[in-house]
Amino acid sequence: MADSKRILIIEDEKDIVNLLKIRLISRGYTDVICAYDGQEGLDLAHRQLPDLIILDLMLPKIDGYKVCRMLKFSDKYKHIPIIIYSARSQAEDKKLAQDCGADAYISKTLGHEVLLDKLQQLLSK
Amino acid sequence: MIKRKILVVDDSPEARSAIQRVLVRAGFEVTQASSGKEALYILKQKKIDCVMLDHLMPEMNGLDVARIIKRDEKLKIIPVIMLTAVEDEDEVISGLNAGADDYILKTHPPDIIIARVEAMLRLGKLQGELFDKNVLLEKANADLYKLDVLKSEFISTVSHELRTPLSITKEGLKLVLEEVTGSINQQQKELLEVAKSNIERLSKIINDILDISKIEAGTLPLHKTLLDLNHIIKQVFSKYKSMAQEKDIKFTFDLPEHATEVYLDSDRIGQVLTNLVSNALKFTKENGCVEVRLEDKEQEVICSVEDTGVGIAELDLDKIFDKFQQFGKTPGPGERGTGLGLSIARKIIQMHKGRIWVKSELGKGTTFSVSIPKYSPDKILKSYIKVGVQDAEERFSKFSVLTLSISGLTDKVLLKAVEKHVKNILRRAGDNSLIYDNRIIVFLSDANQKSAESIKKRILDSCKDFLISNKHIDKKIHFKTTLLTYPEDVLFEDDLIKKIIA
Repeated sequence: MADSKRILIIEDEKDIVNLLKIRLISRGYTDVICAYDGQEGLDLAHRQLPDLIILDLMLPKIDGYKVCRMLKFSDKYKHIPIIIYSARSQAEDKKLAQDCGADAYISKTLGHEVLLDKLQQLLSK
Repeated sequence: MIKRKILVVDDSPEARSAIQRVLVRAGFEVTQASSGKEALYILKQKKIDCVMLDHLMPEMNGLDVARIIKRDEKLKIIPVIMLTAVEDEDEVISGLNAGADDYILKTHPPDIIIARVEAMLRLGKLQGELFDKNVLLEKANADLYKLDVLKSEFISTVSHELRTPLSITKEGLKLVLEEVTGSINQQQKELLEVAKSNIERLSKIINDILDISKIEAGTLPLHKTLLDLNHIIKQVFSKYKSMAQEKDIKFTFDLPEHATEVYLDSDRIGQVLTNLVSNALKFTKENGCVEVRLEDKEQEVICSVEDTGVGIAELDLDKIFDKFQQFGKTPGPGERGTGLGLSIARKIIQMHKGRIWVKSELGKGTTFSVSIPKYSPDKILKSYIKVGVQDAEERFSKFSVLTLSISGLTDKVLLKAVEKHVKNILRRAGDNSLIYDNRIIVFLSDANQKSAESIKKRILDSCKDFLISNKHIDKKIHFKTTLLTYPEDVLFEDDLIKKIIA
């Protein structure tokens, strides 16, 4: 079942993307697509219609908040769950993420497993 | 020796000459000015050590000139002596009030005039020195402040930049360790475990340094809410239970039977207790005991962590809360600290207006205690409203407060249960609820009248269901609510508080 889900990772740190990919594949998510800046991310989201998006906040070109808002304010894409995965862990950042409609906020310090647990939870809804 | 320069200001040439004669004879250099304006002009051009100022002059009188001199940042250190013709008390007082440092009668004998001028010059010299030192100090202070800001910014940027590569490294190691990418042998596993635990140690050091720098820069925000401290202690306890078991340490807690509600930042207080408990377990040997106790006093709560560990030497007790102090370092396995934990703990407790102290005996054990003051319901209510209003102002949004009284419900325990139920319905990070004066007060961040109205409906429906499902309730209960939104209904924080308390 899991292998039919398409995951989009929008993250400029290539190493994080690669490690996340391995972790995702190990859990059965083989359909993983990646974008390394906000613009490319939006583009891929529009063209490939992923089932879930993992989104960094500090991105080149278009920042993560804006990517999130643009997707969540569009009727066509707002159903796609977005997990913000950011190095920032202040309560204010979480509030901001909530304001732009993200479905979850995971701090990078918590690690990939916590992220994957959340992902699984959101996809099983 | 450089001659000291006196400026004599008088509209009468005869009076100027008379004073000049006396002063020159005594070895002073004299400059004359015939009006206040001229005097001020000279003061701007020339270095003057003392000003002698006639009281009554046309245009600008002596009082005005004295005032201008004493208000000027650079000139104010020059002593000003008022010259008066007759001994008139009012004249003397008004002169001194205008800022003059002394007064001389023109009819005084020359030696008295000279003695007073000399006295004023001594005073002026001291003031000048003080002024110069002050300028230096202010500059040094400003430089230090700049440096401090720079230091804090530097630390937080560096820590941030350090974290990313560190977390990437850790994720990579974990993938190999968990054999996601293929199996590894026991020795490889052990080596990677060592690498992983040291990366964790490094992360902890970075986090501690970041905390300290934030606290010292005053930028660590506290998110205080009214919480059951028993619950926080139990969480810390369950986190360390297995570690205590592994070390064969008797690990217990002793908490009040009732909920111990305290207004605090749960993450930060949790961090303090975690630090105290992990220290206690670290420095206690096999078969020792560690106990966490909580006492609920009238004004404060006191939480103590007592161990039967190695203890701390009396000499070290004073330094225990200082930065980078590590005691009883033991070689070999075991968690190594950063030397920052207790320093952070003290700062966090101080930010809660509490105290932290330690009692210890070498070889017998150590007890760390923390006290946190209890706030009155009024104070907590006010503080919740303050935070809500501030947040709304900062985000240009609204803040709503819903009060909910349930007539027919007298059981306090049940009311508390309803409040807890309400709390669980709330979704946003800034939302909260509180029991105040037998009512449930709900704080809704970023909620305008319309959205607060819909949340209210949701809360009421859910509370009704909750009460109906509770079999001890008869059906005569009904709800009374008020809803106030800032700034739509109430423009000021104080009015909002008043309306809710009323």
